[in-house]
Amino acid sequence: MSLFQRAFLYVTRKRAKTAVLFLLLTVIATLVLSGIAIKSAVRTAQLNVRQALGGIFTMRQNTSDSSKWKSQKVGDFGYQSFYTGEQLSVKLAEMIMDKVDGIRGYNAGATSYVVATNAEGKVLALLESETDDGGLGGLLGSYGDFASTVTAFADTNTEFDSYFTGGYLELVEGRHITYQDTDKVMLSKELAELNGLKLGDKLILRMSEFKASMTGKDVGKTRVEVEVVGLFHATAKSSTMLSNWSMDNALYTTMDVVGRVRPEVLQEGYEKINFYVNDPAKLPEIVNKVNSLPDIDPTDFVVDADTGDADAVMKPLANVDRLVSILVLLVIVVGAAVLYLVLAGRVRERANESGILLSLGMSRKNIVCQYLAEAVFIAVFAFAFSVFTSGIVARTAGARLLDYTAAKEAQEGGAEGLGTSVDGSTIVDSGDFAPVFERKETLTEIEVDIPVSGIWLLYGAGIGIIFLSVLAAGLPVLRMKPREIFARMN
Amino acid sequence: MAVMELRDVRYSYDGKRNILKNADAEFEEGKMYAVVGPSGCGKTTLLSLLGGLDFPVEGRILYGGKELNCDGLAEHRREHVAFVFQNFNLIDYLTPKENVSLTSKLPPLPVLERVGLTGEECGRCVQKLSGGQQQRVAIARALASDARVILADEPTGSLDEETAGEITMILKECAHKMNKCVVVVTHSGELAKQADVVLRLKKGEIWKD
Ligand SMILES: Nc1ncnc2c1ncn2[C@@H]1O[C@H](COP(=O)(O)OP(=O)(O)O)[C@@H](O)[C@H]1O
Ligand SMILES: [Mg+2]
Repeated sequence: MSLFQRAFLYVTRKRAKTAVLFLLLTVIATLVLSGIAIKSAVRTAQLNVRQALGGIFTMRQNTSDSSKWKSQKVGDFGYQSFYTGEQLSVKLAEMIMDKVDGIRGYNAGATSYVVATNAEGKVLALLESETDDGGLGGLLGSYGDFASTVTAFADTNTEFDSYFTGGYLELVEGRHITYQDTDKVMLSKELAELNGLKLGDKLILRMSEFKASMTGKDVGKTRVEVEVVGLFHATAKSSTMLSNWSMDNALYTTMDVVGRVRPEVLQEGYEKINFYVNDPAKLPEIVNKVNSLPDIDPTDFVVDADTGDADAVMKPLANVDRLVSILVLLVIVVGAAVLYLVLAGRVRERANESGILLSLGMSRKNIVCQYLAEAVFIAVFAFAFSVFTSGIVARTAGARLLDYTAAKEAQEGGAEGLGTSVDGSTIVDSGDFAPVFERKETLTEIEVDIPVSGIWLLYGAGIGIIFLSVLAAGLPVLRMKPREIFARMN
Repeated sequence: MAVMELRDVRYSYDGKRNILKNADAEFEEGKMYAVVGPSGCGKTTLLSLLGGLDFPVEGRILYGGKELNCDGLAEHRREHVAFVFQNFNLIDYLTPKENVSLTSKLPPLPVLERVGLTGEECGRCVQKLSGGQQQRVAIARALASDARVILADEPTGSLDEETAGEITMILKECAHKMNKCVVVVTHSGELAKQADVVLRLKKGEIWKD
């Protein structure tokens, strides 16, 4: 009878002992595998966050040099100041794209407020949203058609607009807009539906009568006809100070269009340019390269990488990662110790059996290998079973851990000053009146799958630990002198 | 011709007190030997020397005319001798058939039938057998290993009188009908009466009755 036959008969007939070891191994393996699964899920989530929020650097106008500012009389009401240094422009962005490697795209953007009408000149009906303006809307409502203005973003490439890259907005119909487009517009599907608009329809954008009267412009001359080429949908809740400026009512168009609708804006460049790099890890290096370009005058521009948003989302993930690492290590250490104690106890209990087999002329190796085969036999099934159980445990525990750390994060106000408020909403854009989005849950949502590498690791390490435990436990058997065995058996 | 011989053997556990000294004996196939003597006189020690579990301090032990040396002890244990114990020492999660199969060189069932077990009993869990039946399995295991020498240490010590008698007869058959050299350490006068040769241990020496 081979040692494997003996091992098989032992595990199948000593059912209680087999069940106890099976349970013990399942519990240890489930904990370890859940930990590995959570860790791998967290790492994927971190990568997603980095891709979504990280890997961005921003170029802004350096506004600190007062000698570069001039003011100009506007209409009858007052003065408007404007910048005389080099402006943020498409040319500048293209030059940077050209000279610095590792940038996958950019968007230069500016925000303004326009009145939108349909082709017949009827002001678009706007979507109502809950606002927190402290009565400001009602007050401003008395200023002519001011309450009909909507946010108009002038982008060089809406695909790289931070709302879109952050996943807050999704293109649902048509296409994105670039600076090469002439007289095109994108609006929300909801606004389009409210006004019976579809792709290819025309809209007219113009300055508000209120603003025109202030600046002495003729509203009629600010009318620009634009074609609807894209419809987007907001995937997260946002809030603005004024209902009419909400994201659902916002338009995306080009600087050329905005310049004609609000002529004085033409003198100003874009407010900022966001550059997206291929590898977020190389961000600091790329920023340094951009800053050291001879064509970039630091008195005109400020280039920096704002990792605040990404950091704020990453922190709870990093916490989970660390916590799980510690737990996994603890489980492995404690599990190995318990396993050793249990297996050693069993080998000791079976000293008599070892003696019988030795007296029958079996080698010590053969006997210890039988004990090893039994444990491995049970482990193979326990580990396989733990793949199922750990899936359940990891999904539950992963979500809990993340909730817990995220809640703690908010309580501690750890994200303060990072553009994230305590209630979890985040300011993606820096514009004062720009919509504020609630953070999308999907960014930190954990997708738990048991990684195949984790299963291999479990089998490798698990069987390794069993091997060492049985060997250590079997040492007395390996050392026993035949004479001692004989004495034990009498 | 003797299958095993002791020649002027001295043995001591601690180097001071001799358990065996000037011990001489010859063991032949086809005979049952009874080793008798008071408790602690060294009967088990003698058996362990014959069984290759230990090595004498002085003197020689021969198997088939050849002296046992240190390196050959494991092979001697595996190939030439088989033990039967007072407490049977069967493996509890194996059936009688499987216990006999552990090192069997012969098919187990005929051997088990020969010592008086039924086919049904051969497949039963050993714990559900009586003491006498368990000892039969142990003897069958010794027989199936095909060793020429069977060493039994008080094999009837934990059995009632009637069963002890049956086991004695089986051991006797092993010697007479299967041509084994059977060496039995015993306190039982009944068993000693059945033996072909009685060896008495006295002050470390072996005396033939
Ligand atoms: N492992 C040992 N170490 C030291 N002394 C032992 C050992 N085994 C037995 N003895 C001693 O050797 C003597 C003979 O023991 P043993 O052969 O078991 O006697 P018996 O089997 O005749 O009762 C006893 O006095 C016993 O105390
Ligand atoms: Mg004894």
